[in-house]
Amino acid sequence: MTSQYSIRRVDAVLKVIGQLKSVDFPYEHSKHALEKVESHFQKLKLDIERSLKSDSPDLSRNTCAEALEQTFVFLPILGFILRSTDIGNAFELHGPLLRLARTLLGDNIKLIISSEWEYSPYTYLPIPQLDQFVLIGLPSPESANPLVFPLAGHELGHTLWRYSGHATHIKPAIAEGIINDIKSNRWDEYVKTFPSQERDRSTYGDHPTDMEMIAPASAWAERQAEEVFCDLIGLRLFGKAYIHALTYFLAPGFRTRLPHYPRLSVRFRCLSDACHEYGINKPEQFADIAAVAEVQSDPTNVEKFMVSLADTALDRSTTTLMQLARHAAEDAGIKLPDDEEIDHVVETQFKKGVPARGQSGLANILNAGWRAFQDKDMSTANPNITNYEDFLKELVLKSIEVFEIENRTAN
Amino acid sequence: MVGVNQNGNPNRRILGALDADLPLLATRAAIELDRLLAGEDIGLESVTTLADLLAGSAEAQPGQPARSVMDPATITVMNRVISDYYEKPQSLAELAQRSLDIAKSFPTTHSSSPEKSKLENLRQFCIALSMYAASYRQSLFGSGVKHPFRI
Repeated sequence: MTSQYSIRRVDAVLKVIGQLKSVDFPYEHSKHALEKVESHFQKLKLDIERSLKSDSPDLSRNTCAEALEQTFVFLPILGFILRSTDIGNAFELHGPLLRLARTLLGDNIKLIISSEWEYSPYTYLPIPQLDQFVLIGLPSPESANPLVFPLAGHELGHTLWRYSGHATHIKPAIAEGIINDIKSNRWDEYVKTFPSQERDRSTYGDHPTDMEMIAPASAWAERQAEEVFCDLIGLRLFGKAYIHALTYFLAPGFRTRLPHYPRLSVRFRCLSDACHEYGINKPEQFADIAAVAEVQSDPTNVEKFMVSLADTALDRSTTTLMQLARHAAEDAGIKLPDDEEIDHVVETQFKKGVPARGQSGLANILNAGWRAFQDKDMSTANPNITNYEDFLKELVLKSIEVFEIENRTAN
Repeated sequence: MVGVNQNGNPNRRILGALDADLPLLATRAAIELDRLLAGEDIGLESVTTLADLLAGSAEAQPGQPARSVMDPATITVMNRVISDYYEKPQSLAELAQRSLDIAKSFPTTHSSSPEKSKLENLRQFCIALSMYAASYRQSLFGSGVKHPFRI
């Protein structure tokens, strides 16, 4: 019965994919992704059929459970692919962002951008069945707002983190650092938190149970490190525009703390340090951003201790993360936004109400957008423009379109 | 699941219990072993990948105890699986050695398969790895992670 239900569920997903394939997609990557997912579900069906032949009930149960899990995994992705057709998307962004993604991640990268119904930009981590696909979701109220596009840089960072092997590289240092921190600085706290663990301080770290105890702290620190790295990639790709966009989205911060997310104050401190490191002029309003205290909801003593270990481990990693992000961009040949070009766009083009032309990168256009947005004189300069903000957003979108046309015709 | 180990080998692949694709890989390895037990050749692609990941998760020098390069979460999952199906490791070195032994015991071709009881044990190992990896991930990130590939 279970297996038959499993097969029916997979068949139902395959039927939906068949229907989605007839949708008119704005670019081919969405359709290619559907074909990959279809092939994955055909294989899952074969898995179940093969497991039915087994004399091991555990095998068929586990295979059906895995197929169910995969349905939970891929149904939202199918919805994401469908919503890449939504007219709320800024289709102008696809070409320039794809070019940037390929420069950073490789020539075979495929990109799908979708207008989503969650108020946070997000990405899916590299999925083996969708290898080389980058999926970036922008919240529907802002999905056509070019001023938030720099946040896509953060999402590209997640794919880079996985593809580059940085994740695996930094893991041992984090775990080793946590073990040393406990042994050297926090042994009494450890013993108090885990009173039933009778461990010798001198040999601590040699037993699998020691690793089991610190596994949450280590995993959370790794995830925190990834978030900070992605912020730094966003900063390195889009300069100050990334900080403005992040501030727009997150200020004054969340009131709850998730253990695997770094504190917002830490994220902005790292961005501030990185501005100095990368030679980017820091925006002035840094102080107001992370103003709300983030509280862990009813944490146990164990969780408090683990989060504290994770936070300290992240602190030890930030310099390395800054270097990794800088080298990643430099190795890909990606330049910092050019202040002179940005000034030129604002003064000679945006102030006249015409789109930017002859730009060397998406980042310059988006930074020019933010500069014009924050220039109060520009909003009142032309009395014929009734809604300056909408006008400016259209101007930036049109500039991105011009940039794409210039690139295509040049190639 | 591709990364670098502590010695900086960029091509070395290491088992990662928190990698969202591990449960499916282990399930497929179990299916391949199961079909091998039944005398049906459907290939050993997933078995080979899993064996490579296990082999990459520990280092062994002649005359020295094996050394684990797995992260704490992976050590936790492997410790549980190995304790269930083999003997409970008493040290990280023992866990690392056991991981290498299991990696070596996987069949590499259809004709080189080990005896039936060993294959059955390996099949159970893969099923357990799939189950433990899927559940442990959820226990670490809890309700904060709605989707295993979402971030």
